Amino acid sequence: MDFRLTDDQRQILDALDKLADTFDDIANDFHGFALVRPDLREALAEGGFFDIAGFEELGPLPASMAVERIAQLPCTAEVALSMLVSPLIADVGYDPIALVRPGQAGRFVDSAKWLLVVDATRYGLIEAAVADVTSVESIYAYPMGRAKDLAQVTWLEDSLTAPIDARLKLAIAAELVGLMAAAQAATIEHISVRKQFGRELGTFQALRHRMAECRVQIGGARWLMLKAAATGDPGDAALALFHAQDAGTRLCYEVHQMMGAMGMTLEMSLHLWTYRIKALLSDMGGRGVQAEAVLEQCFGGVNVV
Amino acid sequence: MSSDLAPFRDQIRTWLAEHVDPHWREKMFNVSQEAFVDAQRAWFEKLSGAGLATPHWPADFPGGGRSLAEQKIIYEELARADAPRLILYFLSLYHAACTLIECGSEAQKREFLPAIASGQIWCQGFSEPNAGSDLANIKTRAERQGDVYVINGQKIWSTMAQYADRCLLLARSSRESAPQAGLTYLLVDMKTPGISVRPIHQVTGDDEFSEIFFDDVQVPVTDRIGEEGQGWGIAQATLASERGLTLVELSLRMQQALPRLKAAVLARDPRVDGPLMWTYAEVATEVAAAVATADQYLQNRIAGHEGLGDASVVKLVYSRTLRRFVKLGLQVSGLQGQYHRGFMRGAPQETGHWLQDFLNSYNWTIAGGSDEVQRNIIAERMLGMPREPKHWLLEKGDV
Repeated sequence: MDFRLTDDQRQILDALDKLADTFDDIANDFHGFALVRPDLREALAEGGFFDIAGFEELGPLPASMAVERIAQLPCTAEVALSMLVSPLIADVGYDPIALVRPGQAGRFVDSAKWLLVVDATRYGLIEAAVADVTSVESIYAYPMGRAKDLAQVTWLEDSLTAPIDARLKLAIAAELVGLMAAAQAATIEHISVRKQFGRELGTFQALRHRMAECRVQIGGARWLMLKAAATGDPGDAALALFHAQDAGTRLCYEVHQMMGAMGMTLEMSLHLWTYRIKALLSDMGGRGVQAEAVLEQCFGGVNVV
Repeated sequence: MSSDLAPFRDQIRTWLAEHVDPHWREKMFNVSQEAFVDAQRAWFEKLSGAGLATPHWPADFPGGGRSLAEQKIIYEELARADAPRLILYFLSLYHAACTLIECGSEAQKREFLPAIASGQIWCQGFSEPNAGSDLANIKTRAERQGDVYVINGQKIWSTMAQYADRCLLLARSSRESAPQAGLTYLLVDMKTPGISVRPIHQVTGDDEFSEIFFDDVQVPVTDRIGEEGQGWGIAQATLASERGLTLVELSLRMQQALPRLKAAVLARDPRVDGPLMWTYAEVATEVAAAVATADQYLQNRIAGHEGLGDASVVKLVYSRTLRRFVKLGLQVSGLQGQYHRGFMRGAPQETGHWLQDFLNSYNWTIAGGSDEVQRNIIAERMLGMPREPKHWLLEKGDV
């Protein structure tokens, strides 16, 4: 499959890259568990970046690359669902949207205008203003919230369930790939200069080989994510998210281990990526649900004797 | 690339449907090496006659002049058709021919390329007992005496050397310069007096590797490729010759073998939610990632760009995924799977004879640059991590 970008796609991603660079800084003072930048959303909206997936000339492939790029930033804002899922749903426009499961806390729920409600077999929409939304204290590096009253939810047509499901998986996989790349880059920077036993830590094979393995896993997750974006196939989306969640599980362990005690402090930025990864590892049901989806959708399930 | 090459793909697919023997696997199970060689020769002649053996050669050779995108299609279709692999001729068609095309003299090209196209078999004499991953440590001597080099030494892990007509030999012509700079590349006639070949019996039951001993073997200077001392650089061209096509093919073959693995898993644990099925889902996902990684590597090469370390990622993801694949097969086959029942020649790595497959999978974690070497390359060239200190610096304490 050929993922080479057209000139139009390349241009818009170059522009996005320039915009992202202006948000690529971390305040030196304590910034809490999440580093939320609402102005990131405003800048993306102003630049027309939320339109990428909806434009025929651009589409989900560059949109997923845009989500991946934004996820590499130390700051966060609700971007992934607005870029990849909202274009499938009438009425929501570019307003912030959050996925919510009844009774559970969810990312960006307390700051979204729209809530995408999921139950076992369908998706519904409700305005956050009528859902009695509250903030939830969390150590995940996302703002978290809970909706208390979903009685007025409007369930979407059944025909939208599979496409929304696939786009959600794609959006989370794209975000995970960006987060993993950023967490790994920060760790490599650290172990390339930090000396112990008279040598940079990164010269020891015990560490460099594990970083190489992580790079291989991130690469595989990225290609599967881009394939899912290009095909729109639900099976490909399940594969992409399963592999990304698998890779994220290992990566979080490795980067924290290599960063040492400093990685466990809020003075370092590592947690901004790894604690987001941890939140996404259990999203969409986590690895178990993805495994079942992989078996069912990509390999025809199994013939139970 | 797809639409304009679709007729080419159809043409290849049709030809393979007509010419691949659907029973070749059964025929190659527990056969003698001689029968295997006969079958390989017959398959080579068929492929060669159809112009499918030398697509990567220049256009003035029959079947040559195919673009990398077309070559990729040929390999994808060979995998899709579950065709036998052309193991006996791989070194001849890729390593030998590509080295000659890139670095050989006109006279060498005129002499050897038509012979290779007609079925001449070549082997590779690079590795030695003390120069495996550390290839620059080669000790086999090539001493210039007038119009010949006199070769003394030993090579090892030389695939199919017992059948080879010629050998790509890397030997040390100088000890005075840096290790890499003292190597010279020779094209050796395997019938030259002083050469003896000893097949090595492997744990799989096969003996596809050999040792080659050189005892005062005289090689004409005209059979040197490049200049004296340029062997290291030419060897890099040899090793880069297949350009990722094999791993695209093998990854696809592994994906096609998933039903075989699934059947083995279900025979052991028919529960849809059983732990083995979950492991199967993990393996299947890793296989998909391996296919996508190999595919994108080649797509990037077709587009004319390749990142530092990309080839190592492809090799590493394939070898690691293969290990998990065959390990699950061995696990689910239980004690019955541990009996050595024989082996299949010319097949890819996932034959369903799990013990053989498991043992065979080490081929890919060791050969062609071990996993550890690949990880070092990725760490340094792709991730930009600092280089390991040289051992002599460590010994001096100068780090």
